[in-house]
Amino acid sequence: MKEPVNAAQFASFVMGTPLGTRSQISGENRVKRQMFLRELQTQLSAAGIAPILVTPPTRSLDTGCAALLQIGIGLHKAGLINGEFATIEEPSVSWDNKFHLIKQRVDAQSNQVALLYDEPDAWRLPEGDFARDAAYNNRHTTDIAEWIKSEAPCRRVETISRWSSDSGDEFHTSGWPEQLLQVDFGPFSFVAADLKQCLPGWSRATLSDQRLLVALAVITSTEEIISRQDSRLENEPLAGRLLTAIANDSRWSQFMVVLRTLSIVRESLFPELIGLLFKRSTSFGSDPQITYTAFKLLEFVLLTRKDSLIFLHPQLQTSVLYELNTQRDASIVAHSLAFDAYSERIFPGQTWWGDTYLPYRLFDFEFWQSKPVSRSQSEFEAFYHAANCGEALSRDPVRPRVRHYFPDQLLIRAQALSDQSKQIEAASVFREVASLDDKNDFAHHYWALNLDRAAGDKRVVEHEYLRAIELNPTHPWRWSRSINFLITVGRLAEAREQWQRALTMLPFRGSNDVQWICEGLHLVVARLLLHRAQLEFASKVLAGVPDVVRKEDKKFRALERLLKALTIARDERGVFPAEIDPDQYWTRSHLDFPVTHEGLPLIQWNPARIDSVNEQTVCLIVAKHDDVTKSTTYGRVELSLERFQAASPGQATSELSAGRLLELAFYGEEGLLQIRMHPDIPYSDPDLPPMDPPNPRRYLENEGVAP
Amino acid sequence: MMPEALDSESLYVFVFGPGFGESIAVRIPPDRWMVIDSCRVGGNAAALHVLKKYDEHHCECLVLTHRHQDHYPGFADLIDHGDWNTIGCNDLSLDHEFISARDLEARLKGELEQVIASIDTRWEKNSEAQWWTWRTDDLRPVGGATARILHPERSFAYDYDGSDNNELSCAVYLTWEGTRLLFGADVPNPHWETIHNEVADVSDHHFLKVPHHGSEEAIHRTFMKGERERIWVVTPYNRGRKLPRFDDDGAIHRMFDYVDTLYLTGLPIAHDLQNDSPLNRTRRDVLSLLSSPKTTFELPGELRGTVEPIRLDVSCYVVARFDNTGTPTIVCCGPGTVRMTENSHSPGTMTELSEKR
Repeated sequence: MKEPVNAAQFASFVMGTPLGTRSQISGENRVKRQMFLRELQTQLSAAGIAPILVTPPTRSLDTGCAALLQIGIGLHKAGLINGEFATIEEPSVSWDNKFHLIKQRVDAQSNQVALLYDEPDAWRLPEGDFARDAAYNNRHTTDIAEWIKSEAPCRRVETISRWSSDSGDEFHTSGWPEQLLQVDFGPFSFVAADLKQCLPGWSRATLSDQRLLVALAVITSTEEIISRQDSRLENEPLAGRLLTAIANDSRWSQFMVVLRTLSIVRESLFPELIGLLFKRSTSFGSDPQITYTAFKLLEFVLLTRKDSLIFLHPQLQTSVLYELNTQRDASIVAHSLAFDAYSERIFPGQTWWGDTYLPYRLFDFEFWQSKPVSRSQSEFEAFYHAANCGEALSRDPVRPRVRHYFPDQLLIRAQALSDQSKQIEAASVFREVASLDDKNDFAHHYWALNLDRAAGDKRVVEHEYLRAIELNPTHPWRWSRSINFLITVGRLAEAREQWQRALTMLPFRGSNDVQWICEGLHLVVARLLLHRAQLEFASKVLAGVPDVVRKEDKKFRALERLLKALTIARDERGVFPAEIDPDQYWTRSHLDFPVTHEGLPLIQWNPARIDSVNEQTVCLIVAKHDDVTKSTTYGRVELSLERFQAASPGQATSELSAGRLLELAFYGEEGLLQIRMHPDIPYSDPDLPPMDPPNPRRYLENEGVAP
Repeated sequence: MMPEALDSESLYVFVFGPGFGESIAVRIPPDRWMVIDSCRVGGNAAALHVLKKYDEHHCECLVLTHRHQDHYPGFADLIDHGDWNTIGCNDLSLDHEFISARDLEARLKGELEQVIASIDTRWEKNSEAQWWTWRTDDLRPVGGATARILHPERSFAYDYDGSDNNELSCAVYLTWEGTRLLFGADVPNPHWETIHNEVADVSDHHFLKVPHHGSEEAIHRTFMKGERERIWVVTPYNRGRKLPRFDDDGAIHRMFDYVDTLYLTGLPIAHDLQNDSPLNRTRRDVLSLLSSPKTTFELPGELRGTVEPIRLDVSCYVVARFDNTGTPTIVCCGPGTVRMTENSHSPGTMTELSEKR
């Protein structure tokens, strides 16, 4: 059956399938698919079974847990899990036990349950460092996604995008459920009447298209719509035109903020959100008349209501989200506003923002300005998820608190605290996770890392790093942070031993993960060693990086440059700035001497360093290179200050100091000398990776040793 | 070359000074080791060569005299080498300025951070090992010997503005039975008078590591007067000011008023004989060598200079042995070292000469 269906038709079909059947239905966007599932949920309930909607926040550390919890709550509401729900609620019960319980209950009641879910393939954290780092938690998401897709013995309905390659029994939605759409345009009915009269395509447009046309006419004019009769009267281009019109009229700028904020809410909107947004909107100074019109536009044209559910126009939502993905600041504003509204919803009337639920009060505009859009979105998702798991909130009116059913939920909070440089608080939450789930290497590792960054208890730091390694010895970060800790606190010999153990344990040679391992281990360790001028150890570490990585990765090339430059400098041979690649030292002058000077040709240039300066002379260390033997000779040459100044016009004597780097150029047979100096600026190489953790003096500073 | 084995009844002093940096390893009978400061030779801490060669693990005492870059390279490796009973230091502060320095040599000062972290952790782990090297009346046992800090006084160090770390440099007086050794670090000469008057007769020694590379600012009559047969070792400084000076007004010339022979672990400039066996030269020979080096460095425009040392890992070390009465014997000197006298002497290798003593 591949023709379009509506929810009622599809519910009949699903009820007729054998237990264990997975039915798929495609829909063009996520909002539409989720609305369809909600409609289907209503229809299946009426048919006498318990349809459980599984819509966890996607690509989050707690996606798997949220999905499991939603099934548990669904079973609980349907009376199918009875007192055992307490097991799901208990954070100290392991994932395996909770998962086993849910599977057992669904097995036992499979004829009474239907699982409705959207694109479980999109639940997992995408491949990348963070996903690898959180592999243990991602495993939970995989567990439940695979079970739902392949094993759950009940009826299952999966919505997929049109482009999904996973084909099962294919259906697709019959379009926007017409009965949900407004036909009364309220105060804008006269606009609809004008368009109906003057716009030839009006009668052929869907109600969804007509809503966009009315909104567009309100913001521009009916004449504007009529004058562009050649434009396509379809959802997507109409939504695009509407957004452009709003963006082009500064009076409507706050309305755009409202639309963006509404668009990031995945499920039903709630009245307080809309109210708060408009309250904010007027406080931004918008024209009251425009604000009123915008409010009414939402109420009568751009929002869809069904029972207690409220949704933004799905195409408009899709188009706004598409634009928002590329607009960092706009995204941050939208998420911040949504966060405030949800906070108010969870703890109505609360004005106290103490530590009770402060851990979730992480959305800080200034902070998130420096973060990618995706991080602000995932942060909001975490909060959103907490807000929507109503049962996850204690109802203590005095000290409301976000409750957690799974240690994974705490990880999000800990991660966000860590991102905000609240290391002690983050370490405390990671410790809580580790105490609930001792097998969680991610929690042990980040407990140690956050404590390490805060220069906390060294014994705890060391112990937790080692525990994380014990649990996951094939993860390079588990090793590199532990090694760097040992280096940082001055335990070099142990760091060397740990390094050797890491090489033994990591699947290095012949592995597809070579790049990842080198970046997670070699890069991190070598960077600190170079800062600490441990050149032999650093050399050994970098020598272990395969050529294919070393040559392709500019961060490794920067480390090698610094290593070579420091090695040369240690032998008191430093005459080139560190930014210059040693392979390029002798290829050309680096201070761009002209090929002729006063008509004389350039015959030779030499790099040099000022060794000492006094009132009469400048003593230089000068290098000469033999291109044939590839050998370099260094000499000590004294120049009178007078001659130095004559050769470097414009160079103030006060700028001459030991350590300054320069080049000598000689012109003509007489060897007319010209001198140019490298700028005296702090060393920086944009390709040099940052240190991890960033402050190697932290313990010394904490103990009052370092200034 | 260094002896294959050490006489268990003699005290040995190994002084390394490759031109930049110095390190001293002392073997106290029968098998205890003390190391003062560190420099690198061949990429490793110089004293580690000795400790490993003699397979010694009785690491008794390790001292960092002060925070100058010619005294701490490799010190962290030394700390890690053994389970030191005592680690001495009087200043754990760090510099501010080098982190973003364009001058790469300044960036090498990051090693001081490693050294301080190592000391701090060892002190934290074993409070018994902590030795704040202030001048006190206390004698610190080092195996069968005792060590006394001659400088600085704690109050002086606390009040000092820190503009020159040499002022806080820690001089050590080590006594083993009848043998007395004076390790002058880089203590400047105004302090020696006070040390002599208030702490110890610093002229009473059998061995002296001459303070501050034999500079004029370091030598002082208080420690110079005394027996002419004492062993004095100078560690040169081949950067900047290039120490010591050998001219008639220089400190080396003054030293010959008090001893017949000086041992230098090297020379402060390149010389074409430095790769060979130890040199026997008079002061004037060396002065001549320095003023007209054979290895010249030429550039166009009639610019000339001297070639910088070619080998930096020259084994510049002097090894002396003492019996329990302080009678000294020079055991060996590595390539690049110089045995210097004021007047001409009969040719011969230093080993031959030492054997004649």
